[in-house]
Amino acid sequence: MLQFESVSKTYRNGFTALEAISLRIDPGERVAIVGSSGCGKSTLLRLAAGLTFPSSGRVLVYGKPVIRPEPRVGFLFQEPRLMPWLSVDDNVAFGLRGPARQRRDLVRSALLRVGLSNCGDYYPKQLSGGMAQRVAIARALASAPRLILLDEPFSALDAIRRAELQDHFLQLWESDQLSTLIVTHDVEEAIVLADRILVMQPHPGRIIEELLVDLPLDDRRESPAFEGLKKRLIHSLRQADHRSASAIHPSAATLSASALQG
Amino acid sequence: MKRLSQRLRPARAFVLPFLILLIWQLVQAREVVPTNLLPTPVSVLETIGTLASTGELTEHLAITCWRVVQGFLLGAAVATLLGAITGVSRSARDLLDPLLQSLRNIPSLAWVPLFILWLGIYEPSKVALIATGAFFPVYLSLAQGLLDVDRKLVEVGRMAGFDRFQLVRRILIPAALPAYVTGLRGGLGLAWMFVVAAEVMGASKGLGFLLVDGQQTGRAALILASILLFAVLGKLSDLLLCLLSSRFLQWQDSHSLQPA
Ligand SMILES: Nc1ncnc2c1ncn2[C@@H]1O[C@H](COP(=O)(O)OP(=O)(O)OP(=O)(O)O)[C@@H](O)[C@H]1O
Ligand SMILES: [Mg+2]
Repeated sequence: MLQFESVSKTYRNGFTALEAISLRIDPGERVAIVGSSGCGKSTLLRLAAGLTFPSSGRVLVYGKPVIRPEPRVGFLFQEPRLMPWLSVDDNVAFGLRGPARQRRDLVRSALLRVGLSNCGDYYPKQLSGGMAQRVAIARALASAPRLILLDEPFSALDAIRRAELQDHFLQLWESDQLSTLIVTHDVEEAIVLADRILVMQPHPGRIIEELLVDLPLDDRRESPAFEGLKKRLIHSLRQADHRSASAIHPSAATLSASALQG
Repeated sequence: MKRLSQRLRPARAFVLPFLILLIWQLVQAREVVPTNLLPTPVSVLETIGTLASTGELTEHLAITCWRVVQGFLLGAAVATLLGAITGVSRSARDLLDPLLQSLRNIPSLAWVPLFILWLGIYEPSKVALIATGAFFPVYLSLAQGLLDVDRKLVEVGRMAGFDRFQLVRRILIPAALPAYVTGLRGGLGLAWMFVVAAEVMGASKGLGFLLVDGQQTGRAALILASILLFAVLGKLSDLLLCLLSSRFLQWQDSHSLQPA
């Protein structure tokens, strides 16, 4: 479905955001990437989306190198990115094709899913941050993608809404077998939503660890293994930060890196 | 109580002009400065009244407004076309923008002899001059407005699989609209300035002609009457443009629209 083959990304200013990233997402799989702020998570998703291109290595979707955004790939951005001149309805319909009637139905059901069916006539300036992000979620869902890329999609929501939408996404995956790559700094979210969690280390961004979440899908938060997994993830994130901090002193970095691998 | 003060808000615009006129009238009633140099507001209004009663005023107003409308529409239309092209296409920008930017630095009056030579001394040269004036603000604002559109919004369109044309129509143009309107207002303002230049250079009718006429016949009241009319017309036309465009800009989340 989605494949990175030792992908590196160096920005034009010489900053290397990602280094030698390899990963693979199979159809219907849910993968989360956790990493601290600035470690290159958004960059990675933009590469997967075809919004930017690798400096070296290859990004493949359906086995073909990505040269432009794929129609079957949806992107839920870190910010709502609503068109301020369009009503909520028109924002959700943005980019939908097909007869007007069908589009209207898609919009209605997408808004219903995020609990905003009464707000179709609102303009973005009349929405709270959380509402705006839900509209963005509705827009991403309405186009029925096969692979969805989520960039910290729920960070603007209150805890209850967040849990609600997370559960909602889980239902969606069960029914649609939607493949997912979600990026987040919220370890609980990663555990709840993903089957597999990749831990990233900043400066430059690399994947340093992979964790399988072999828990039943519903109510993972209540599962006894949840806390244990969470501790482990937090521990690896700390270590990732520590390693990147010591990367300023190359010898120390090699040392700790080999220590970790050993 | 609050309602009333809200409704009276537009009236605030008249407070300062009225005070100035009042003081001017009171002072000049004692002829502090000789009235043939600085007439009283009342005599300026009387001059306008006399012009109006003979039907002359409508003629002057009509011809000036017509020149502004033609020049503005022509200049704005060409500017819209070129601004849209340079704002959207990098190669067009590389090709066109440097040339247009250097033409912009030519003082407006430098065009006059050339336009007269090419287009004669009658209407076409005047309209061309006004169009030149109106062109640049519109061109600059539109091209810049298109360039300034948030990459983040454009990416939403790219993810939706939009082609270039769809990106322009559905994201770039709506997003650049506020800047475009600002450019149109600037262009209209310059059209009014250039109509004066065009009419002072040579015209037998129009508000600019009244200026020259007033100077040649030593009637300060006539000059002031013409200036006053320019001010009123300029303001009214700007107001009209704002009203026409406000429908399309209601979505803006402007700080000035917030009631604090
Ligand atoms: N266009 C760019 N040019 C240069 N550097 C960039 C550019 N975009 C991002 N970066 C840098 O790349 C690094 C990774 O950025 P990115 O946005 O991918 O981080 P992130 O992991 O998504 O962070 P956050 O969790 O805060 O969203 C950052 O250090 C940032 O400064
Ligand atoms: Mg990010």
